[in-house]
Amino acid sequence: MNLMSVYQKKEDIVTRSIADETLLVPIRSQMADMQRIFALNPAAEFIWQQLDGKQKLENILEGITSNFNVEKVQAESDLQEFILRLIKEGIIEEAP
Amino acid sequence: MDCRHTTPTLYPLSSTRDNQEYLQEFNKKVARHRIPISGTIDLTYACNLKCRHCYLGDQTGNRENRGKELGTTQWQTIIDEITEAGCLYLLITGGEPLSRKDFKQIYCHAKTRGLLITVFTNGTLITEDILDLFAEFTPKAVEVSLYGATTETYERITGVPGSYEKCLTGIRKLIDHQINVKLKTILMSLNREEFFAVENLAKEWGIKFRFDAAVFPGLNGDKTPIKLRVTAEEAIENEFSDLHRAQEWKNFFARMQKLPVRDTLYPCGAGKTHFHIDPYGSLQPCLMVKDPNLKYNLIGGSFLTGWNEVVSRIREKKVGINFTCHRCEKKSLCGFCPGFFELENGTEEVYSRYLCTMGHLRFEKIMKNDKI
Repeated sequence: MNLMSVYQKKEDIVTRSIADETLLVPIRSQMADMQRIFALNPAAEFIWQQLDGKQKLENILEGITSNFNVEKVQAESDLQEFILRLIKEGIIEEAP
Repeated sequence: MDCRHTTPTLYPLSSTRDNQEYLQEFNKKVARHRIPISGTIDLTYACNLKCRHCYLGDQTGNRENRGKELGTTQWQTIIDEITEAGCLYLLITGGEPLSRKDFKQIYCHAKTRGLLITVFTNGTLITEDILDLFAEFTPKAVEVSLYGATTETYERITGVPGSYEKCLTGIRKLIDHQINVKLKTILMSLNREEFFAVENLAKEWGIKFRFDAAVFPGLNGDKTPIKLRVTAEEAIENEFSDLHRAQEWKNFFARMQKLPVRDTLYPCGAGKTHFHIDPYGSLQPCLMVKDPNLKYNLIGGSFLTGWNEVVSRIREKKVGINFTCHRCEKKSLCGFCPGFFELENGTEEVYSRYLCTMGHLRFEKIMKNDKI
């Protein structure tokens, strides 16, 4: 994973906050079933908030290690997996 | 070490085995905090059909009342308010919601707010415009009512010549556009000979099918529609003819048996996690509730005020000490609904004999049939 990369949320994903849970709801989707709606745990929500098209992944990684009780190696591995998952699900894209 | 709390995780909001625990916790939290997670909006009571069983009564009056319905901007404001309050699942129905000229504006507004939308429709107004709309902004589901497998039977019910072919065309076009279509029917005396033919159409099309036999009385108190009901025995025979449906009832019954008996009159989500809004701006716990103390006029008011201060009163309704159904072991099998009882019998605490008989028959089927 290139830690200099910058990612942003896709425009057709709406972030909902319901009962203190963060949900991601696609506006346009070929698969309109519940498999396309995602809830985020707190660590995921933290990363999600940072994906603003400006923050490099290295900054986000720093934030994770500062805010969560996790070793940097583990955090980097988790971040990579999470970013790849978001890309695979069509939720984020690389910022121009 | 992989720590659950520090590993960023996405939970799909579907009920797969992997995330059932998350979904259960989410649903409990929603109920605990009384979040209005699901809602129904009747965009209009007008319809281009004139179905014999319809609980909305004569269409002449409904069409004349179009002028009293909420306008586009009013609906959009309400959608903003319900979203702010936590609504996630929205059912858009009517009457025939696609008969509203501003359906597209209202639907798009709801989709772009992040609502998961199901549309109930008679299927006869599926234009290319609607297909393009649904192809781009995909609904969670479109449920189409099909009342027969032949022109004669269908149009004997709907009262509109040509409506059967339009309905079939609408269904086929939705399927061709890969919209998640579901089929449903009301089983009644007028179409009982074609029940299995309609079910087979759904199988041929590869889409889900459900039915209901408990024809409602009219919302205005007219009891004429219930004369169209088939016997409870026939309804349950049809229901349990499908192994999957039978299994679903058995599983549901088993889950409900584990829940404690409560003294609230309305055990469902109405007014707790669900709300209903009629075409004229009345917010209430569900479609059938008639109690004016549980209704709030959204015109000049706000959704949150209505939800918190008026609709919430439904929780105060407790069962009377002589209420027959209170500890009935078959209560989860009859479609227990005090709102329905009131429509049928004029009071919430006199049960519907029709629903009760169906509950007993389902119980017998579950207890006696070891194949389900």
